[in-house]
Amino acid sequence: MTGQSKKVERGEGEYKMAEVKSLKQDKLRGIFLFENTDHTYLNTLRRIITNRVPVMAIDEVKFMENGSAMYDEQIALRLGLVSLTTDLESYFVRDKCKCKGEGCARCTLDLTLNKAGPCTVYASDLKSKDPAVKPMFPNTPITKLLEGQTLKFEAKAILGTGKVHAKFVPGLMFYTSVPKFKVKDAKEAKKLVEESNKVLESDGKKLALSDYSKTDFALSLVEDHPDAVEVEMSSTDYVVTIESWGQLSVKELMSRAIEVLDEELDELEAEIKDLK
Amino acid sequence: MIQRQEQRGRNRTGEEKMLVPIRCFSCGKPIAHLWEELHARMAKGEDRQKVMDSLGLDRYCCRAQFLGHIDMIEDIAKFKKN
Ligand SMILES: [Zn+2]
Ligand SMILES: [Zn+2]
Repeated sequence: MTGQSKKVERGEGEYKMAEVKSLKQDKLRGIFLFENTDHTYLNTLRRIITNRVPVMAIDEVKFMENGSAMYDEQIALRLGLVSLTTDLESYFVRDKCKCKGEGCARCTLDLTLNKAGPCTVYASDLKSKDPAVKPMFPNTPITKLLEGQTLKFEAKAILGTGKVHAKFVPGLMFYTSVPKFKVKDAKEAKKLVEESNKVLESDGKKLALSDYSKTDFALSLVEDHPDAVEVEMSSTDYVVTIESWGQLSVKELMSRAIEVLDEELDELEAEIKDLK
Repeated sequence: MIQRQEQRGRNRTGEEKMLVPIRCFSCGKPIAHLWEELHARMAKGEDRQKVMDSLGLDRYCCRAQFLGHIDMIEDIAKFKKN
């Protein structure tokens, strides 16, 4: 996962390869250190992650029976927001599918639900025709039914992008630039390190952050000791957090985003060539 | 405070109180599946702050969804006209 477009040759001009280090990996969250890059590239990646990477979500609901206290529209909205595990290999975006937007098995997934009260209807009650696409968080409550109330519907899930609706947003990315500290007064700096509760580390000459997730805390501490150190925010190194909402893994999300960026750059290149 | 909110029928963000929102209004994180666990653990005497931390509700936008919400669907459902 490097930050270059595939057509740029290594070592050409001033170009430097971006380096990515993984700092922490959870199930649905990854924290990375990006070096030799800039905020323009990272912001492009961020916008592509929220707007351009397609994921599955319920888009159409046909109610046969709804006895619950919620209106059909309310339930449909809640169903749309349920995140479905997405298999990007076996589904196509509707507009690019062979059926030309009519809906077929390659672009549309049918889900059904049939429940009678008294009970809470959970996302796990949704019956999906494809075992690979199911609710990521099965304990999500959709609605509650009392004695004698029933809920019965058929739903269609499609691939879509965050540009169209927030339910298709696959995750969130945010980043902060890495602070570099220059010691101005050794005595004051020592005090600062002692106060920082091990967030700042010092080897006598240099001061560094031990935990990048506590950058804000360290900066506010430095503000209280203006004579101790000078802070410069790096313009090439960034700590990047990527969170997935469950449809795709962090790795898939990132590589898909880079693929989308490559495609769009190719498209731009072709358009420019046509210009006279 | 809770009493007054119930009389108004709306929560602090002005939403009609039904069931906990599926996703956080601000950041989009799916949160509804955490609601029942939060309350089950709080009923056992665990501290709300600690449970929220352990559930991964890091940002205050997501935490606010839970702090300002009361489930009213069971009371509202009694008055449903069929
Ligand atoms: Zn199709
Ligand atoms: Zn949030």
